[in-house]
Amino acid sequence: MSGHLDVRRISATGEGSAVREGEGQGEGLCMLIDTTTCIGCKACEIACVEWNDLRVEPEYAQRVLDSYQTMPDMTPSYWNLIRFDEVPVGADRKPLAPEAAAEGAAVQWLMRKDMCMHCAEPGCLIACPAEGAIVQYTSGIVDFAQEHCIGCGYCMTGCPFDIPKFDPVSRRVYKCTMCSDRVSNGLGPACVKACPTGCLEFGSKGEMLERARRRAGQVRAEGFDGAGVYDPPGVGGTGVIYVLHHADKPELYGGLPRDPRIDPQLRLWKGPLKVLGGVLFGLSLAAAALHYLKVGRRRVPEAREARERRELHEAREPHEARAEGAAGREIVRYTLSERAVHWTVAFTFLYLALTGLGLFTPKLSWLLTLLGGGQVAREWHPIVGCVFTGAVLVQLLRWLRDLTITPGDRLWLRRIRDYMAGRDAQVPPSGRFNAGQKLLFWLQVLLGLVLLASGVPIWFPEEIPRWLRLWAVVIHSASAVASILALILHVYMALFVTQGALRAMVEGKVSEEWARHHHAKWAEEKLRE
Amino acid sequence: MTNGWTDIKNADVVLAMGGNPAENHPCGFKWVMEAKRKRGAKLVSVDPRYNRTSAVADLYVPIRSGTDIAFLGGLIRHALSSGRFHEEYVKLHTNALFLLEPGSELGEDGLFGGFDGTRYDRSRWRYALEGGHARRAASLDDPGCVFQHLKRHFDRYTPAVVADICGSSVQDFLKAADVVTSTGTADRAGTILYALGWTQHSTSVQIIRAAAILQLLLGNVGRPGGGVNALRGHANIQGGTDHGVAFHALPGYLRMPVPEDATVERYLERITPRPLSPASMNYWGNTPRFFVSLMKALYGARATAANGWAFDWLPKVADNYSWVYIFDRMYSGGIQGLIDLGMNPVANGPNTEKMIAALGKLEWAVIAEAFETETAQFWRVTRQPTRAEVFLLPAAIFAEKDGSFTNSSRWAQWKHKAADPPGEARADQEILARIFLRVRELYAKEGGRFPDPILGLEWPYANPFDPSLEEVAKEINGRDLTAGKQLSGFAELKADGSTSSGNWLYCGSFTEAGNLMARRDPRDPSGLGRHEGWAWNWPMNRRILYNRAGADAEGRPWDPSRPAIRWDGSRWTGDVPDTLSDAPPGALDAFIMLPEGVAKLWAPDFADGPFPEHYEAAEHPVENLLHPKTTSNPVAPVFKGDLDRLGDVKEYDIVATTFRLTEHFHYWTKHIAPTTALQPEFFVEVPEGLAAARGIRNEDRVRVSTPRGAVEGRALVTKRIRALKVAGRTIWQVAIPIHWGFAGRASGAKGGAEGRGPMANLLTASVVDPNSFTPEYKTFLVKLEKVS
Repeated sequence: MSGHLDVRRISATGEGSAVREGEGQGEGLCMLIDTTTCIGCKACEIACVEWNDLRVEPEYAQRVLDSYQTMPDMTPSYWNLIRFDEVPVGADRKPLAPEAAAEGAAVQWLMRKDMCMHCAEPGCLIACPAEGAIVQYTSGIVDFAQEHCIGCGYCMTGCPFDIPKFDPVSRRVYKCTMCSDRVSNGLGPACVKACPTGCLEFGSKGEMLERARRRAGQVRAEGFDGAGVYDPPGVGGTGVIYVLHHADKPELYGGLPRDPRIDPQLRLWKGPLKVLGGVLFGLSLAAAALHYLKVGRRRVPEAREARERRELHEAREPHEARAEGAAGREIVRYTLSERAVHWTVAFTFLYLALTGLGLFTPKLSWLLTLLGGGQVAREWHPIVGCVFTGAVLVQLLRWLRDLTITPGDRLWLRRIRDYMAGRDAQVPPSGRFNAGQKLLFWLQVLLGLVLLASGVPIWFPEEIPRWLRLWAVVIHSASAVASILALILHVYMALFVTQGALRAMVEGKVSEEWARHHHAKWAEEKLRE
Repeated sequence: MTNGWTDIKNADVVLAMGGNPAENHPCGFKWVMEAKRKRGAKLVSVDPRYNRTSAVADLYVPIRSGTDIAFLGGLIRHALSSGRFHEEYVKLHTNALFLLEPGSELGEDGLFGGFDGTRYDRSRWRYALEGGHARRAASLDDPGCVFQHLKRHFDRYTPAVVADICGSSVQDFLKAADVVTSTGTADRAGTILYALGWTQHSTSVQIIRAAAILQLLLGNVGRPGGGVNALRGHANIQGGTDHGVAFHALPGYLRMPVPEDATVERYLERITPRPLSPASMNYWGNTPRFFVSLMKALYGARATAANGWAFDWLPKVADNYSWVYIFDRMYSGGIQGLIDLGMNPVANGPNTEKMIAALGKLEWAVIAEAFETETAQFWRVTRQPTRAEVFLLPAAIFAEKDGSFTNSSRWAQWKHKAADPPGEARADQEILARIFLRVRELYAKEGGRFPDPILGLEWPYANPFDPSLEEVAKEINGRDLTAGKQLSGFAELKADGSTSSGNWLYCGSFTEAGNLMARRDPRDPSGLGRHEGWAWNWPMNRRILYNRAGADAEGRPWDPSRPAIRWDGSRWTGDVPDTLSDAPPGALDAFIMLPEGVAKLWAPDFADGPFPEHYEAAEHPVENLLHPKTTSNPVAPVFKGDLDRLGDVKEYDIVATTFRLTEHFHYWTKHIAPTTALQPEFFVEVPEGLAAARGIRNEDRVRVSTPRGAVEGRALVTKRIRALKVAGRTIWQVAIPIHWGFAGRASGAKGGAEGRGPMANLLTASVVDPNSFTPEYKTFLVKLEKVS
């Protein structure tokens, strides 16, 4: 059995994990679980604990006492759990809906060994952003390498069976390894070895499927019309297959999903969204460059009166001209606290964008390395995210009056082409912020809130239902892309287009001319004071 | 087991009743699954609870606890009335044709003939003899023959009566009956697996008799895939039974001497049976050889013909020294001290309150245990102050010593020590040897009332303080004392003192060829699961007992595809034959251990009747529907001390039974972390309907009580126990797992009454079977209340 640790796929390599096509196809290994001969003895559970040196955490052993199930769900240190379900059945041995079952109806006690299914197309691996944290061997075994795991929990979101479990102490995710250490040494998994009834078997997928189908045929002949094999095609088939009495109703078996698949959200997130994000970032940078080349920097023309006043002054008092005239009149545009808040927003945004991009695409995962590694990023990104959103809200409250959309803004917006083209004379005067700035700000506030709302489920994956997390990752990524695009615009305008804008945010002051030119109404107000 | 675990794979039908093999014997149960997978075998599970076995059964039939004889009686009647029995087998291999003297029949009052008010005079139950042999009828139709008696006796067990008594529906019963009796042909075989669900009743031996009768009628005894198979509850309980742990047997099931046995001759005369049929081999006729060889093993050269083989040194048992009697005697102050090895009476005796009170009356107790069990701590919980001095000796567990296990299949399997015992822990044999040697020293020094049995005991071990188990195993096998060689089988045993054998049944296990119990050849040339080269099977490595009955009058196996043994013209081939290997068919009857030579459908050997009869448990929710005058077993001992109170259905309205869980082994595994985590907490299984009626929700705390005690724990509300209609009434059953107490990790002591923990046996009664004296743990009445 050597060669079972040859690698077929590695997480976060290439776009969505590289598959070495042609290798290991059709020769994968497989565990057959015949639930029709399983007696729920839990020998597999203990074998798993012993071989893998796991601990049964006492807090998990506080089970819900409606069955013999050891605990409600698997844990980071309990990877194999038999699920027990009492299902009322009719005289034909078909399951009845609980409400349809008469008092004292016959019952069937279903027992299913739950564990990682080792999908041919593993949602966990596709979702994983940490290179090498999840591998799929040519044998089909999907294994977690915790030394590379960053604890993001995306695998938990990607898995349609809800298998991987997050350990809050080590901040890494764990699940069944199919005893890859044993298998690579020619042994079967520990659970199979321990199974007393022979309801567990381990071998090539082809052979296991054949046995499973034969057994399912026997069970059908015993009168269970719905008997069959569970090998869901939505995940490309699984490395763990079941024989079920009621293959037509897999949900009865502790919620075995009827049609598990790589969710469209996951596909969208790991596929088109990533490409789209890259394209949009590229386009926006290119657009900025083009604009710069064509329109260039926006200088503040000296106002006529100012020029006359300066010329007059120079003529009269030539020796004083330089000192007084160069100084002009300065206006405070941003107070110290405003600047502090702005730069908080700026640097937190930068951190979020860089770590977010590192988690978003393997091509930028080096950013995580630069910023202290994936584990650190995973831990700090959400916290920094909260600081960011908080700071944005502080800004919003402070500038609420200045950010209110006015009728003048509509006029401004109608002239946005002139603004873009640098024909400032054609642009209506604006207040403290022009309409473009206001809209950009409102957009960032909105995106900030969306990012926060969608970030929380990603932050606490073990607390949040999976369907919500699936939407959260898509929304979080999409809004992050939008937010970064908006940032590119903002930075471009501030650094390259609007001369003096950076100084305003650094030193807090602008010249009277600058103020009159860019924010005429605001300048007037300020000057009146 | 008449057969063995690996043989179950040959069955076409498996009836699991009075046992829950999937739960309690999961490893052996693989052979049931194998039969299902390979032969399409049908598994029928009959139990008060839909259990782990039921979960993989083809048919589950609920039954009221304690009504197994009614159900089996119904199956017997079904086989007889529908002709679904193996007539040729019945005529050839059972006493069906034997003629009976009148007087043993059951009267309308529910009593067999010969009842004197307290017990039966069994001499009234007789075959019609002629020249010392039983007379045989010409045909099964002879009204005087056993077969007709059987038919008349069980004729009352109609499906309707069965349903009325057991609470199973007529349809379910008939479905089960059709499957089970489908093996009443030559080409089909069925097995019965049972355990404590049958043995722990006041009618337990008769339940097993009923199963034996059914299997004999179906022709299922002595052939692969058949048999009446007791699933033993400990790794070596079969070995313990074989070696005479019960008070009334010496090793090898030799009967214990009684005071009336004045001389060894009178004793041997009493216990050696005489054949009742001309072709009966009557192998127990060799009893003197077995007995004398045993005495030579015990007393060596000091047992001589002149001193009657030291017969006087053996205790003569005048009374009943079975479990419940011992503790009853202890409770009344009749026992000073106790040496307790590998037993936890506080947890596993019936009526725990009485167990604790009895132990409290001791002056001293020596308890050798691997864990500090409930018994080792009994002094903490006695109600009256105790002056007992308690010594807890740390003992090695099974993996810390070598020796042999004899499993349910009667396979004696040698095992090797896996680790040294920790700390000061010692193996049992060392503990016993050191106690013995000190006692012997005292007798040698101080004399004493009767020192001979102690001073005369043979103690030939290389290290007398710690006899090696190999030496003991060799001693058990036995030696030719003249040649100084190990014997190769019990046929070599002599009654003249020239051979020794510690247990004739194990003669052949450790021969000059070495320790056959240590063999590990997994091959199975026959494909029938015999594995002849694996370990050693008593008797004489015979895998299926009574296998001569697996063949017809000409020695042809009933089913040629599944032969047990076959006559090839000159000798028997296949399994080790349960007859002389060169005795042609017809020369000897098949059941060589029985004086009749054939199996007994009718048996005068038991205290409570020649045929099984349904009696209610000592605590019962309804009167006996067959004969209300005699509701419970009239000869079952019921103790009547101040702590032995029985409950009445008016107050205690629910039937309770006890059960075990796969996750735990008796009272040990609650001392171990991982197994404790699998089932950490005591619970009571309460049927959904009953829970609804009493306002009990899942996980609510409930109290279950009898007049003897109470346990508290959370309710596990389940669909798996159903309401039963019995005699027009609805009967509810609850079930109580036995594993918890006040010692160990999963003690549950916090929730227990007065620090006793939720021990199931706080509830059970001191009522025993009149033959085996096993307590009636499995059926009693309780009150169920929600605890707020």
